[in-house]
Amino acid sequence: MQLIRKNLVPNGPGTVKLKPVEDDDMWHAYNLICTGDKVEATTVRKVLREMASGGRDAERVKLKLEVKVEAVEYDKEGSVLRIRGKNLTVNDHVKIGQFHTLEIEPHRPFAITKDIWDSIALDILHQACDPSASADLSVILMQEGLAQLFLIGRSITTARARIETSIPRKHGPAIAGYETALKKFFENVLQAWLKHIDFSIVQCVVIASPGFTKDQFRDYLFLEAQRQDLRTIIENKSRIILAHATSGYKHSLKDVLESPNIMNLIKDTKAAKEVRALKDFFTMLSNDPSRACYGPRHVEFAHDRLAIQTLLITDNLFRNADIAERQRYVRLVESVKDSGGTVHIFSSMHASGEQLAQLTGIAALLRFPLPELDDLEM
Amino acid sequence: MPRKVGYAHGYDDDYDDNYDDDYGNYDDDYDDSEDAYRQNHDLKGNTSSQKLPLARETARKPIVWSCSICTFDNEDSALVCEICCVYKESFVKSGKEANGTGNNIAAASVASRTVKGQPEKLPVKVADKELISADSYGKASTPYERGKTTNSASTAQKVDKVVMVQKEIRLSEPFDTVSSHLKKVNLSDTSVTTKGSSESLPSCSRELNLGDRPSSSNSVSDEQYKPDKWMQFDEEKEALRQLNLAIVGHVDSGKSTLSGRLLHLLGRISKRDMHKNEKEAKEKGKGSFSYAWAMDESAEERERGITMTVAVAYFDSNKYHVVVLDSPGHKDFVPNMISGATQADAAILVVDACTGSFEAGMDGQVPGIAGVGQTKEHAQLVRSFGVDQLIVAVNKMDAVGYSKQRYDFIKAQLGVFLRSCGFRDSSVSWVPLSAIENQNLIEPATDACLTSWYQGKCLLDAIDSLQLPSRDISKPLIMPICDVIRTQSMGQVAACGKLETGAVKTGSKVILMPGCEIATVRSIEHDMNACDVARAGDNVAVILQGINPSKLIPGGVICHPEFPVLMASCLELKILVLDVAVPILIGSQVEFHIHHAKAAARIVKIVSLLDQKTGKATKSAPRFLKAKQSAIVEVSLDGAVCAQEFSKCRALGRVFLRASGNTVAVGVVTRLVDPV
Repeated sequence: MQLIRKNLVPNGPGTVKLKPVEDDDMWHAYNLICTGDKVEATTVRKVLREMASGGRDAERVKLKLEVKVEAVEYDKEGSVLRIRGKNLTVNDHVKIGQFHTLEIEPHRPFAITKDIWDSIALDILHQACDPSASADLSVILMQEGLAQLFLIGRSITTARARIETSIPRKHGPAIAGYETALKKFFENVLQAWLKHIDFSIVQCVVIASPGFTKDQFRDYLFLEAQRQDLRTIIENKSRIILAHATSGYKHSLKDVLESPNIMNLIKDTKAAKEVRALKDFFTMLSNDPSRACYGPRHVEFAHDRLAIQTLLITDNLFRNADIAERQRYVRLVESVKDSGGTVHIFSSMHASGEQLAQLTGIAALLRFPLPELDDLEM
Repeated sequence: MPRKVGYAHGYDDDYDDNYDDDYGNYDDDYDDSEDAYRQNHDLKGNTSSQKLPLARETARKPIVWSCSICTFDNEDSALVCEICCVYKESFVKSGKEANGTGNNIAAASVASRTVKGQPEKLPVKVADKELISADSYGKASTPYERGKTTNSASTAQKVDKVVMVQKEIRLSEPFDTVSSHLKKVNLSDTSVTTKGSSESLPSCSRELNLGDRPSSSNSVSDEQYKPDKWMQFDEEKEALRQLNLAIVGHVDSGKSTLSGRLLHLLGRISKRDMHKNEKEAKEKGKGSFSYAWAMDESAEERERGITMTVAVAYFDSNKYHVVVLDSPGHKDFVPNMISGATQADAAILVVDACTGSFEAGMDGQVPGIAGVGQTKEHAQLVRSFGVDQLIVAVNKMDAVGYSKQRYDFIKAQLGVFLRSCGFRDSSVSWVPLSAIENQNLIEPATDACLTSWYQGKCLLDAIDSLQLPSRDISKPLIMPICDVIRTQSMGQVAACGKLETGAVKTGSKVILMPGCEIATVRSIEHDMNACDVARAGDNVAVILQGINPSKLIPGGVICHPEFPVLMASCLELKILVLDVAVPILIGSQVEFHIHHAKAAARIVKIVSLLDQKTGKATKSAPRFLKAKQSAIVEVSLDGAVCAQEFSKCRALGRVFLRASGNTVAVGVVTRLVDPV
């Protein structure tokens, strides 16, 4: 994201003009824009005009509109952001107060005006405009009969393809059916690979699976690359890495990112930090359960006793439509920081953030044991 | 919610001391079922049309009250609901019941006496004579019940307990295991010690379980189902019945070699094939794998020298048609093992006797890091498949010089663990053998070192001494699809699997779930031989016609057209957490296995923690679940699967939860939250 203009007071009102560049930026913008904010962007609107003859004529007009946000929609597959709200700009085509939906497009600047730029919003802004720390990684997670292709960006993980075929198990003479089914399956995965993986963007590709499916697929891949003369694969052989996963489902992505050789590749990125923080949480939970807690009720209980060392929280809690609710979480984050704790805000678009979101979205590692937690119902 | 008679504690409540209570119920069924069936048939001819007066039937129903909150059918004597601890309504309202508790207990014992009146509802009729003897037995047993259990546990369970005692005596177990007043029951009641009547009882109590099943939201209740005549067993024709035998164990313990060797010795592998395997194995420099290659047929498996998916093979022992399910031992392929071997009736646990290998199988592969080896994991899984008879084959005895010391060490170590899993000592048999040197497989050992201290059964005899579990032929057809075979040339499609209940014959109409597609059975094959009828327990390939082949997927279920199974994507489970390092939290992501289907799932709610011994809820909404705890949880799946309450259908009610490569919990389905 490029910051074009910034005119704001921390914890006060202000305006920021931004230009999205990558897919990730849409996600940041999505997190930045809340209901009640004002957003200005160039947009196209279909205008109906009545002709003198009584006929109607539709025309598409390019306009610059500012709307007061009522809803924000984010499509993670297509990386599209749509902002719905009431028009605030005086112009010939759209009345004030009429509804309009802005679509934020890459390379088209837009401006956000907020009444309060709180610390979380400033953090997101800072992160979004930080050009370093980008890890574009592609992971093919597979097991026999199921393959999923993910692109892991700085703050989002997108599922690009999912291939599912039923592969028969060996059964005497039907063994040939197994081999052909597997080959067909690999062929589909290869097609998805060619369609979605662009080595000019992706640093490296990880093939992960339980058992030997990954080796089988790699062998197949190199063989096919030779046969069909797929230059991109042959030239980038060194950027294809194998890793172990415990299953082909999405939640195993966490295992893949945790493995040391992959961790090295993504070391400094947000994704890696999140994976580590969540791992710490689970380690603590298994070693000393009274020093880890999760769920809003338990976390607040611990916070009242100033027990929180590390707070893990997902960004979708801040995306809450209820402003008071958002303020509550913002205050929690700030006061944990003030009392010397660390805070990790997880991107809910990553596998680790998704997992945290399932664990109620909030968890904490404590400074000292709180055995009373066991008596408190979830 | 009607109570699950006889399974009030659930089968998995506990894997330690009190397993007898829980698993005992099974054993009775298994041991006596076959004879009981025969008996039913001997008498059946003229009794099938016999019906007892309806009045008698209603009078015999156990007295229960339904909880106002959770609708669980509690016993009349219980003042609070077993599930949610809410007071009985009438008790709260009037207080009249307060002095009525004594009556209730009496009523409960009456119920226990009369509870066996149910079978007349069932399609398989029990002769009057048997009923009377069962009744008299029930009466005879009540003094014992009154004496021993003043607090009323589930009535049917009492019956089962007594039955178990009876069985132990019949099997001439050491009398000191039976407490003295139980003996008294047996001795005082001489009329029931005759074999016939003692066997009729388990069948009655089992059928009671079936008959008492709740009628669900399913518009047609299973109780209305009447099996046709052709479904029943034909005594003379079918001398041998099918036994599904899973072969499990740690990686490289020699499972495939053992199965290959057995098949070879029993003449199921032609000389030509064996010769070919031997030659090819030698060429690859893996001479010792020649027998395993009879099972591991895919190039990939041969290349790596390990089994990856469950192989199916057949041989005949003296008593059974045995279906061998040779499962993979490698950690990564446990999911394959689960989906392939859930159909097992009994299992052989193969243990490597070599120094270090046995230990790896017990405690995981990496020395120094505490883990669970596949010997342990498989044993636990097999137990939760519902298998209670186990043969432990201590393999590779040749490598340790047939040392008795080593054998005893393994037996002691593993024995303790198996007991904690819920296997009874009496149903575990131990066989030292060497697959590669052909010692003690189908004939008694010849090696002097081994015969000097071992004179017991050889493996084949041990297989013959296994008991067949009960087969529910009287219920509607349910056949989970384990595998689908397509024959390209003919456009045929065949579903392989084991019939869990009911029966099917050529030409029957069946419904396929998911998808609700009606299909016709074109033919049925067992081990490449066509057969006309397949009944519960048979492992067959059913060739269907009139169906879109893409709709036929492993994990589906073939059912009776009028009684399709339900689908659900949100289930309430009763689980037992195994040895896990990371506790289970709300929101934990797991892989969910049920019969042959699997799906990604997450825990959405931990409803309550259960007490290990009593099965009662001790704490509601706990923070997390630790190892060895049991609990009621709700899971949400990413796609609907065919499922059924465990009390209705055991095979469709057992679940396994796995996370990060380990089995974290086993359990049963207690409720479908959103049945479709």
